[in-house]
Amino acid sequence: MSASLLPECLPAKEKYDACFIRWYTEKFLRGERTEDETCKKLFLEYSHCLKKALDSKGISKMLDEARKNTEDGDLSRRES
Amino acid sequence: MVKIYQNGFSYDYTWHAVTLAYFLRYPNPYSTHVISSDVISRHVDESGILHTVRIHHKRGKLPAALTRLLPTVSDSYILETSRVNPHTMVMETETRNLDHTSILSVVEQQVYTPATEGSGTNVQTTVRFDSRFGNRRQQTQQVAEGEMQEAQPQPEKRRLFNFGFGWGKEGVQRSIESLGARRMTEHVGSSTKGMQLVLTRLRNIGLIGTRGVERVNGDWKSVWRRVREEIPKADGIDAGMGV
Repeated sequence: MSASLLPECLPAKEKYDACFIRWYTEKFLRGERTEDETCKKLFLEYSHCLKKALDSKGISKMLDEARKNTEDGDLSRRES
Repeated sequence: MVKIYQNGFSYDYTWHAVTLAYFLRYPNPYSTHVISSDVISRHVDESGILHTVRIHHKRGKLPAALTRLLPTVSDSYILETSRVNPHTMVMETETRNLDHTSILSVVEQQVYTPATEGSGTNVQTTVRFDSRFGNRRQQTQQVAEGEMQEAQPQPEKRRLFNFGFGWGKEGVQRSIESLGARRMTEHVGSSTKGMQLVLTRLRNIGLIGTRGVERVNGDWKSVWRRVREEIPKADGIDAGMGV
């Protein structure tokens, strides 16, 4: 699997990725909607670690900006 | 001023397999410029659709002519959103660059559906190139300030292009969009090759078979280790410099 923005988050990311892919192949694609509690827990650990990188590299800000622009874009397309 | 690129393609793999490969496509030998991929958020909504937001960090992939113009631009962040509906068997994806959007905004949308005949998967790709280079940069600020008039080009940039290149702002924007579009045709080729390779390797590992995604009967850990180790391997792949 791919690396993480923050190298120190890689162990948490790999655990989560493995959990997700297993759930995706064995449950989700076979029609189960329920999210896996173990994967959810692993995701929390991973995203907690990642938050530092998102904030320090200014990505959180870019994400907010992109969200805003997308909403504006959707709006203008609807109006036109 | 917007340029649109469209493309249709079919994979010789089931829809289930292709959607799995989509999440596992980085890193692969055709996308060595992708440094990292992270999941920002993920959930299943009430209609059973899986929503995922990921961020990919890419290195040095802007066209050379652009980097000459703007030498500080060397890498970028790509935002990827996807929706997988296993009931209707439709996967919709969108990628867009998060930074450098004032130079060129590239939004790629893809729709993955089962082929009408056989067990393959069709992909429809639409890419939208939009350059606002030289327009006033903070469009959101403009609205906040209540200025509704046409955005004015920045004086220094205008001088640079009028004097140095003899192009107007629109000419530069068109050139940037064309450069982006030309680059895109190469990109679609290598990202398709990347997906093909990931699919082949997933089949070799046994995660996907003729009926689609297989159940892992043995040791999941060893299957997962093979996924991590074998998908990025460049053995026997002539990826060249890629795009």
